[in-house]
Amino acid sequence: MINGKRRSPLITCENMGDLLAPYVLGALDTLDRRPVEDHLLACAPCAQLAREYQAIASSLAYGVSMVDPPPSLKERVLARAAVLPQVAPPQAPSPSRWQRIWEGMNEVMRPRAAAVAMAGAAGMIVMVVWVAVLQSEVASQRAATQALARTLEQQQQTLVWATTPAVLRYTMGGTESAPTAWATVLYKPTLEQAILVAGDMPTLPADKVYQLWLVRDGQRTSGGTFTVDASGRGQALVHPPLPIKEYQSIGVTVEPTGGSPGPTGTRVLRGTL
Amino acid sequence: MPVDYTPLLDEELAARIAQGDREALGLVYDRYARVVFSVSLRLIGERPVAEEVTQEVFVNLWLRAGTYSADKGKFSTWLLSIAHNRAVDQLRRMHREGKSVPLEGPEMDHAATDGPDPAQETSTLADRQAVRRSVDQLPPQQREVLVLAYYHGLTQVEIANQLGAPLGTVKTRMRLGLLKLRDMLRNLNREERDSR
Repeated sequence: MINGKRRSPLITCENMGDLLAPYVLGALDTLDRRPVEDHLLACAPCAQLAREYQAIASSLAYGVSMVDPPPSLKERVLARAAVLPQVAPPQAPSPSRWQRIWEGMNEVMRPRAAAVAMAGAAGMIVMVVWVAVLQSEVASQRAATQALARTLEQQQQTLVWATTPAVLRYTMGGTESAPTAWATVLYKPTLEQAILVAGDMPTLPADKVYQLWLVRDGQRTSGGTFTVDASGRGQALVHPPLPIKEYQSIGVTVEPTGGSPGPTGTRVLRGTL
Repeated sequence: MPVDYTPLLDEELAARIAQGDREALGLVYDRYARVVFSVSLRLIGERPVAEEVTQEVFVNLWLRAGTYSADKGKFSTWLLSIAHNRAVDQLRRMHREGKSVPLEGPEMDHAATDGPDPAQETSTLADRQAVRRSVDQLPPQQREVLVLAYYHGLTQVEIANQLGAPLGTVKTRMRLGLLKLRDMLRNLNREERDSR
């Protein structure tokens, strides 16, 4: 994934009141939308409020003048569905024993559990530690679920692009430093965007990333940075400054986290366009 | 014996799509392609791009129907919010790339006709008229921010700049406008029920 440069604002239930209306109206930019969505995944009361706002905003769709799409569009959609396998939704990690106990308590039981603990100092300490552990577990599992959902979304987008006839496909091969590494670049001219999917890449230390370079007349332009998982697979969404046919070749090097203005590290992948 | 899907609720069709039922996808397409395409076209202004957005919305519905559940709210709300987000993202991408997008005034395009509409139910036509009437009756400052955001795809910051109003004021007008719109739609629905 391309590394974001902007720091996300801190989202709390208090400032969600100000953000929900612009969020459901589509008036937040992409970087501001993501932290709101993360908060909604983790906060049931705000998510409920968001659904109510969303229902009002979506009714606005019926306020536009209606225009029929061409009849052939339905055939195109169904033809694509015929060849695209569906992907199962990500499963949330199974809750831990302590979390199951806590979540299994109803609104009556939880205060009673707390009261029992408060009966003695030792009990209170146990409860405080217990709640802290639970909160930590819940937070980490929510983060894991969100990461899974994003991975799934990326994979689905790649799948859609890979089966679109108008998408251009380029392959990259490993250099002598990583002979088995490979990558495929899918470029959609109508959107002027590309998806890079890499595999069998060497894993990197935490302070290093891979950086994509687009080469035109000897000038190298960064196409963004990405990382790979433990199995050496990675993916990046690329916004080339120029249409991809303006470039002659592409390459991937190892660079410090955050990327470099020009290539400084070992070249791992190369390909021609 | 073939199953008649017509009486099925959207949520039931979504469950069938998640199980790989293309016929259910076709029926959901019949129900929503027109509004999804119309919103995309209203925002983007170019038919080929609006077609592409509409296609992506329904192909992604095929892929992601399993991620829908009733706790996400009504299916139609879920689908239309995805469609609006995709169209807005596409519009902003076109702006970033310097492509011009036909812009109309901040009012809705009332002069355009809806054309023949044999497939749509009467209730949908009533919905459209109710939404238009309610938006028209909003206080002008609230209507303005809703129209600029939803129908023109402007961000809250762009709206604040365009109107010369503080960002906080824009947010407040958006919130009040949505709540007012909800109340008016509720009242219209109630009047419609009472008149039957």
